[in-house]
Amino acid sequence: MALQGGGGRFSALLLEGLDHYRKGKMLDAVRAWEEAYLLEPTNLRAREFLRSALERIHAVMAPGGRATAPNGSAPHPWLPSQPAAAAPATPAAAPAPRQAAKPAPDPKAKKAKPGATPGQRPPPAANPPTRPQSPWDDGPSLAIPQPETGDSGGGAWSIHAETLPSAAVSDDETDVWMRGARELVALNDFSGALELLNKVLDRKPNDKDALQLYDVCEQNLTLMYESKIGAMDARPRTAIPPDEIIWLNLDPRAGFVLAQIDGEVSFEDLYAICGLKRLDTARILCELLEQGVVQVEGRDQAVAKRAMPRR
Amino acid sequence: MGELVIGIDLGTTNSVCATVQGGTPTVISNRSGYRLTPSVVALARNGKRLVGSLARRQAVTNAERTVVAVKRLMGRRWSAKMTQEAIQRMPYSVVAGPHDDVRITLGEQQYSPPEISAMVLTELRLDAEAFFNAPVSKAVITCPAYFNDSQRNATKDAGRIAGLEVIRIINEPTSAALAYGFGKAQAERQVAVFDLGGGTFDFSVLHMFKGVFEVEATGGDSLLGGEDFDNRIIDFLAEPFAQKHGIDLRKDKMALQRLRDAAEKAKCELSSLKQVEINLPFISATQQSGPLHLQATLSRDQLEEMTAGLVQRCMKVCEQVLGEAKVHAGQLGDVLLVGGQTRMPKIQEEVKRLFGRDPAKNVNPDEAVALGAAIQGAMLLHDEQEMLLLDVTPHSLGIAIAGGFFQKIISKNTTVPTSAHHVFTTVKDDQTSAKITVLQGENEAAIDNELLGEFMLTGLRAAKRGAVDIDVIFDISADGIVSVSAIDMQTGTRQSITVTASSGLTEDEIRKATQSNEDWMLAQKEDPEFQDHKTRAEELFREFEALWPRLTRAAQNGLGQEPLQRAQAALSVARLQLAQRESEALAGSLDRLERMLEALKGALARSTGGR
Repeated sequence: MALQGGGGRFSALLLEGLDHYRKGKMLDAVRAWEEAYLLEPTNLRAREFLRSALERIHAVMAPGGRATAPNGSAPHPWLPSQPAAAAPATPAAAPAPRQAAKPAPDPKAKKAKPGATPGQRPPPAANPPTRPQSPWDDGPSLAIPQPETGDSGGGAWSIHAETLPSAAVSDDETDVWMRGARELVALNDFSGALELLNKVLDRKPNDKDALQLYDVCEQNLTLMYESKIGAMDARPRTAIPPDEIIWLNLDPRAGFVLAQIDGEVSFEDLYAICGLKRLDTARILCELLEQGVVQVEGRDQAVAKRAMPRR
Repeated sequence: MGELVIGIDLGTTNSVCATVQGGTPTVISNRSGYRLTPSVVALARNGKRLVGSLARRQAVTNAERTVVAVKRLMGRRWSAKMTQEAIQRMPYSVVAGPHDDVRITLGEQQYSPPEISAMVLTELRLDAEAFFNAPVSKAVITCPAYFNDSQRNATKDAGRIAGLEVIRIINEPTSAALAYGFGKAQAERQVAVFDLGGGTFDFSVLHMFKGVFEVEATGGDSLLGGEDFDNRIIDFLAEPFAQKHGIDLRKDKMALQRLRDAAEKAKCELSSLKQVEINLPFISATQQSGPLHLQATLSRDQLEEMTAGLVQRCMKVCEQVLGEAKVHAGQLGDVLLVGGQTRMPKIQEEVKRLFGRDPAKNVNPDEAVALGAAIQGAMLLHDEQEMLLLDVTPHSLGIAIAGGFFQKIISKNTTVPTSAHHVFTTVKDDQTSAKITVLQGENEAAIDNELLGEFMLTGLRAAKRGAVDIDVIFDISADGIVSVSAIDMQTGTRQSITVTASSGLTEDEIRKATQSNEDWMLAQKEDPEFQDHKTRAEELFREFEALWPRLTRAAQNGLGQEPLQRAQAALSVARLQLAQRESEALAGSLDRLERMLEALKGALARSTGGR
């Protein structure tokens, strides 16, 4: 039921790229992530990482520090072109809009105290730049708590700002995972972050930061699934005959959730009676809906995908 | 609409609510459309209070926070042997209360058994109010014939907490007899009530004459019920699976919940079918073979064979009770079947064999007790004196006297309401006070009876022993509530006690619990403002959903993913606020969503050149 697969080499490359990225070695990061991307071209995580690194490189290269090439076209074959008039590219979970101009990543600057190099920083919050209002600027605020680095900047794309935990440079493997998790969160890769956080929590079950970040990831992932599920008071029912259920590819937990669906219990009640974590229930329900195994009256339905065709 | 009254069968496993409409007793279906509401209360993992079928459906997977069979703890003292035995079998946490009573831990809070029962009663009350579309405040609630005063008081307190005025507590067999049409006839009659419910088996012999229902004998097995039959089916399914795959499904909570549901369903179907198929796909998995499915066939013969021992236990109880009452099975006028498990053909067959007659089954056995309570409620409401039932005291009442003996003042099976008195005297010279210990039971030794309460009569005239007369008066109301007073016949000094705190709750605690329950009910009611927001939210969700395919295409053709991501996040937040009923926050989110929708529509119009 995992959202994204990935072999050991692929994961190692992702982590290697993250490490380079954190240290400001953008070209090395791009090299690692390009390799990862070539291993799994459909993997969104690799593509998003690569894109972030390339954006950062182009932000440095572009005159005035803008993130796009002077001619406005995509400056790298991997970097999808951006609409010129598009609203600030802040992902869903970001409470603050991304700054149009980003400072170049300077490993030395990282060690400086916030605000010590005003020329490389966005204007202080007290004097925000005047910018046109976009209808989605005042969107929902799903705050992502940032590590306590003394930097008040944050948000999903805070990786572009200098919010990386400078104090986190340590040989401790869990610190590396924590950093990786924060960076994945910043890239909206909550499932990837959860994988790393699980590793951290296996070693340090009471790690406050890890637990906090874990909650954030769970909450965001749950919201993502729930937005696909739709109205919580809708009552799903099975869309395929009972004797065909056996041909699906389900695990026992999904089998349990499916067994609770009878057309009379709402999604909200399913959360209550399944006894699983809200995230797990949401993920299973989402997958069952996407596979067309269950349906809600009056909605367009997917076609049930069976593990093997019936003969 | 006139004053409304409901009859409630507050069962160990299931509860039923009924009323009399146009002279016809009718069961009130719950808001989910079912006639039975499981007497189960749970605090789900998401913090939601669940009552009834939803609570029951997660009882296995969330056993620690699901309260089942709370009736076994009603009015019990923590220190009582019965309590300690009962809590051994309960998967939830039961702790001692402040008055040697019992408290149940549910999440962060502790509840008394009447409070838990009140949650079930509140649900039934809300069902009734939805049925009548009017408030309901009066109820007749049933309890087992063997319930003592404390247990009856606890039941009454549960009703109060649920916002119901309990106009009468009646015995379950009496209620069932009423539902079967007895009580109207003035002729003397003796009937047996065979009540096999979900968790308990009760067998009673009733003697009816001129509206007086006397429970001549009652007995049972508090650990025998329909769930034991389900467990046999679960074993039948799980054991071959364990042999084949090496996995005991009974140790996997999710698998066990599914087994339990399937077993109950199969059992019910086998009352009318000869054979059923049981299919539980994806019930487990192994690394080697992947997903595992359970498929089995169960016949009625197999079910009867595997449950023969349980059926025989019922029959033994019947024979024992009949023996105690010195009644021959053949003498009984009728045998009434009560409880869903009595639908099993084998049980009907065995009852027929034992009593030599077909049992009466013209009333739905699940519903008989509630229907009888509704009939009684209607009688009380309309003051139909000629048909008014009179119950009897289930146990003898009296006080402890010198030497550790029990002196009965009111005998078992006395018609209530009643009053009786007995004159006692002092046992020591210059005795100026006397401790009145009120007891209930049939044993000669005071210590073997149930303590109902005690008080001191002070200020007695100093005199030689035997020279001071104390009159002890017992009053029992129609609900079985006991008041005891003691009077120094020479001086007129008087002390009294009304046994009210024996349910385990003080008056103050009941008041607080009632208030808390009312607050909860208020919180459940949707305010009109939230209703407006909900309607608006649903419209917006639909609009976004309809627009989404076009937006997705536009995102690929230049609009970019970001506006869609923002909208998706805003929709998720609004849905969450809607689910959590955050009215004010939802209103803000809806404003934002509306602005986004307009902007997205504008962007779409521009990208298609106004087409």
